[in-house]
Amino acid sequence: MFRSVLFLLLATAALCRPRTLVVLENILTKETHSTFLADLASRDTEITYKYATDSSLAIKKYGERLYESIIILAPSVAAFGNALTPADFLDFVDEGGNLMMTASGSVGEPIREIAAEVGVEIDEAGTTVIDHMNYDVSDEGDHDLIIADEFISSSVIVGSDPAPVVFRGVGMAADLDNPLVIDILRASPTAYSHAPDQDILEYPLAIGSSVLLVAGMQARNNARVVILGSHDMISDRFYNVKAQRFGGAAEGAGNRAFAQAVTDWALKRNGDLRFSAVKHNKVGEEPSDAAYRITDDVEYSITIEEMQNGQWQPFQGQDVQMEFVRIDPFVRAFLVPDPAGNFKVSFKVPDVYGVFQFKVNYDRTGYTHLYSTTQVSVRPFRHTEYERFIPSAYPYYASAFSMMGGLIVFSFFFLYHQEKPKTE
Amino acid sequence: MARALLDKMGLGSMSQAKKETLVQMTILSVACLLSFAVRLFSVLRFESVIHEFDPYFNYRTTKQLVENGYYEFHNWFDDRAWYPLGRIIGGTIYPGLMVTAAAVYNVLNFFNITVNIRNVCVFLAPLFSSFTVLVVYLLTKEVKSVGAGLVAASMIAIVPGYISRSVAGSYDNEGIAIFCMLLTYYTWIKAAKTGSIAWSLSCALAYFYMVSSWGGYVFLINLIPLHVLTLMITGRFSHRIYVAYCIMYSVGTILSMQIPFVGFAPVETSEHMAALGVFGLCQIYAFVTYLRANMSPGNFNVLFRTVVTFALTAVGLTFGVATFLGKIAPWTGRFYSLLDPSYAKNNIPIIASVSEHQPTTWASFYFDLQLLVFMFPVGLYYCFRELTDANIFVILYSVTSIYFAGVMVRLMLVLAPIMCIMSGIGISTTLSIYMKNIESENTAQPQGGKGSKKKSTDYPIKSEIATVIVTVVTIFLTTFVFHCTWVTSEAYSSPSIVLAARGHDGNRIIFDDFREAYNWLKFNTPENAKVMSWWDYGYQLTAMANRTIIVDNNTWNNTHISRVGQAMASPEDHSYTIMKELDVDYVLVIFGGMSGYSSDDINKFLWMIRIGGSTPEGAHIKESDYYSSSGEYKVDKDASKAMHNSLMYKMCYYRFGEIMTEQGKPTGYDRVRNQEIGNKDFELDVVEEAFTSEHWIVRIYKVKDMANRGTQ
Repeated sequence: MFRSVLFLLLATAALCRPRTLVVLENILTKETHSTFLADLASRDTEITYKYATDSSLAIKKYGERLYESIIILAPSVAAFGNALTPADFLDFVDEGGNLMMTASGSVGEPIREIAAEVGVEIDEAGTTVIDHMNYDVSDEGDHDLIIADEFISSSVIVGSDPAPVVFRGVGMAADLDNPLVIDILRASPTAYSHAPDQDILEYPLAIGSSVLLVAGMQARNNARVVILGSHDMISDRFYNVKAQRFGGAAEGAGNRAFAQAVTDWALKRNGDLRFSAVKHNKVGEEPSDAAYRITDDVEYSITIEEMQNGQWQPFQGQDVQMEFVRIDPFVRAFLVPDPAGNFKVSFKVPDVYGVFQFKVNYDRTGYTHLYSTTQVSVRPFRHTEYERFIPSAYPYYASAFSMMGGLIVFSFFFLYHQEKPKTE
Repeated sequence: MARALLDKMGLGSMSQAKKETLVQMTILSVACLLSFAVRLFSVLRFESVIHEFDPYFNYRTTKQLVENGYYEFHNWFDDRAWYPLGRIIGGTIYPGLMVTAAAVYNVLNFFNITVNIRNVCVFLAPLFSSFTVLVVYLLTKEVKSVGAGLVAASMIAIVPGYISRSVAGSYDNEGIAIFCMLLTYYTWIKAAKTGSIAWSLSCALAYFYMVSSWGGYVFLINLIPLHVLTLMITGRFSHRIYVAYCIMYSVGTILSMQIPFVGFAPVETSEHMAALGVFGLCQIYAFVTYLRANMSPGNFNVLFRTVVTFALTAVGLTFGVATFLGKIAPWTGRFYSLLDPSYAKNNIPIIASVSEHQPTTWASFYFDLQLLVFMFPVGLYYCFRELTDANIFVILYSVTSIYFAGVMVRLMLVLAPIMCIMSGIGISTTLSIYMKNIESENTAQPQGGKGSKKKSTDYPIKSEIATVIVTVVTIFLTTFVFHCTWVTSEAYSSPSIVLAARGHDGNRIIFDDFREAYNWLKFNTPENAKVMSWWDYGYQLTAMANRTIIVDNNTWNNTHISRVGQAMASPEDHSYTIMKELDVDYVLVIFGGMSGYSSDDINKFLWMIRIGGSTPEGAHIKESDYYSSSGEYKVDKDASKAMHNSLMYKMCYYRFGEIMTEQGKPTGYDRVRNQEIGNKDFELDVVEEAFTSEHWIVRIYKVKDMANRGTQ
């Protein structure tokens, strides 16, 4: 009895734990990236390791996703095992799965294709990001072991106060038509992306700050994708680099902390928002399905929670707004949170009837796009809800009644008064 | 013959007056029955369904009224229509029709005659056309004679101009409004003739019923003052008219203001000012007459001149100031287009786009009235021959209505009754003149010389001429009956929700695509899905599919309709932003290229372009961009790029290029426009096909979500 309950508990716990698939390039990756993988394993997640060319590689079974997230540490793989195509991974993202992958100077076609489909273009094979001003002292002469610190200003993604990271890998460029791409880490203004041993004859894919070193994308279904331009930057070796700019002091590479933060973000252990308990009602009344009347006082509340380090916590953002929309917002107000994450606002329905929506559209970099709409009807006054007597109309009432009175008096006069005959 | 028949039935012993009454009653009852029966073609041929577009809305509101009672109906805020604006139904309709239908329904059910509300609605118009027959009889009797009344009544029973709006299933305001209008005229003539307060009040009540049922009451409230004014000018103004008009106007106006949709219009808008002005004029006229009777002529003239000058200036100034301040509403577009046929076309595309607002062609006069067109002047002549107050009224009615019917094809409906009355007078008078002449041979001749004066009007072969004329009139009347029946059967008995066509082998093919599609929507889409279509189909969509729609046949908001027009006329990506703004989930288009159904959305597309381009947001839509380089409206290879790329074109012709529609023609051959479409192979980016009906008449598309990963 006890054992079966325990088993059940364990099974439920196992089921509830997010599942992560780590796709490795080869057996060596486990060695070179042992710290990263160990950090990953220390998270509350169920990890499955597979080699990229493994014929048992599968991400779906019976139409269901097998994993919540996939981490691909196989930049130069030419074809995935089990005939998995980039489209399979993109479907995985479209169904809500998260994807994190690394690229390198010798990036393979599948990785490049996946990247292109999420709005990130990886530079040609053989190119690398070069920076003649910000290279590490241990650079071997190509100035491609660079130090980057142009992080996106979002502590949810890169952690608070990230230290510069050491980077050696391929440059990327964001698709300008795709508004969903997030520039997690950009190169310094003096960098460019090119093959180090070739003359620059054509304009490179990207130069300066438009060179992306780490790119992210949060899809419209809130699935997250992170592409690291460097496979090495999360390796054990780079974790231990001193990160000393040429001509500067040693700063200590922030690679490990950065990798931790970005992985947390990619696995939705940070910055994931969810809402529940959307309620709206007339002030002082219980929620009901009936339509609101114009100029009613209405309360709206929504509960928002935030995932922080794998735990759901009440969200405490001060900038969440609620809009009362009929094509255009008629009311836009800040929602005020209480410590339990219940956001509330009360307002007066505008003097306009129609079909309105309570809309919470919270879209902040790094956070899940929180979007909630609730449709309600706002009706005009019923015929009994108007004022019976309007003060400004009293002259008219008076005139009407005096007219009636006059008519009665006149009628009496006309009917019962007889003029004396004039002939007398 | 008749006498023998009566004898046989044992009625020969009846007095002459009783016999006449019996014959009148028989004729009237037969006319009533006929008027009901002739309107049932569509019910027999199809089924008991509501027709066309507006009736569906009326039906839906009637159902609401029957189910939830009057107050719920009165305060009904409809959030299914005009998304997201909504519509206050109670305050924007003429409730007369619904209240009448609900009353009939409740009375029947009170007596445990359980009739479905839909059937009440379907048969309401034929029922009221029977009532109209009676009213026309009474009206013509007042104006002329019993005989003329009977002829007019028989004619109104079958005249196509009236049948067109009152067949079974055509559950629209006009169905009862013509009855109300004629009832008001009848009571007015009665009131004017007798000067009795009772008749004047009945006239006011009839007017109230008219106001509650149709916007055409404006015609009425201008015609009656016109009558009064004419009587004043011709020196026929009397105390009778004074009593009748003052009571009718004051009570009628107060009553009409109780209709929420009318509200304060009777005292504010220009359409009603004539009535108010004549009301004032009556008082002045009466007062002046009183003064003249009590003053010396010299004093009176001095006073009269000063007062008139002063009054005219004051009135002119007040009117000018009030108009300037906007107190008197400017003439509304619909009314302008009555006076100036080109006004609407030049200024308000939404009015001009409705086919029933187009000017009437000569052919349709003949089609709808046939014999009456020729007999009308005859009746008019006889009316002029002996002018009475009542005659003047029908003359004014006929002259004004013939003008309005020429301006707007829809107002043929107002013309039809007076045509019948006039023709009734004409035919009846002609026949009674010449019938006598035929009889004079048989019966009058033996009596010999009645007097020398009578003899002098005699002419040779009098009887033969009379016979010929009577025969000709009889033939005309017979052809009139055949014509009316044929027109009713062929032209006016199609429910338009179910289409019928003749196949190659002469069989009747039924196209039931509309109901198929509406039912698909009803059972396959989420309950609060928003459907965008051109406004024509709005009422049907809400009534039959029960889905939220963006615009409907109540074209009250030009901007909103224009927005939909822009969505239809723009290229896909632009349309997408508009559709997202309006939260559209499904788009419905009507396409006739496959089946040859000609009133489809491609043929209406020019109006969408015009209406779409008529607001500032749609300034990028120019009508000329949609014509081919030679300036024609085409869908084939010559069609312009804007045309090929518009959402409407793409939704109508999506996958059509693969289809062979007619033998010996290439694929993608449009059977309405008789062109091979120019853009055959294309994909839709922002919408996907969700449903296409059996004959491709209705095509429904689902608006896609934004691409998940940001790139299309």
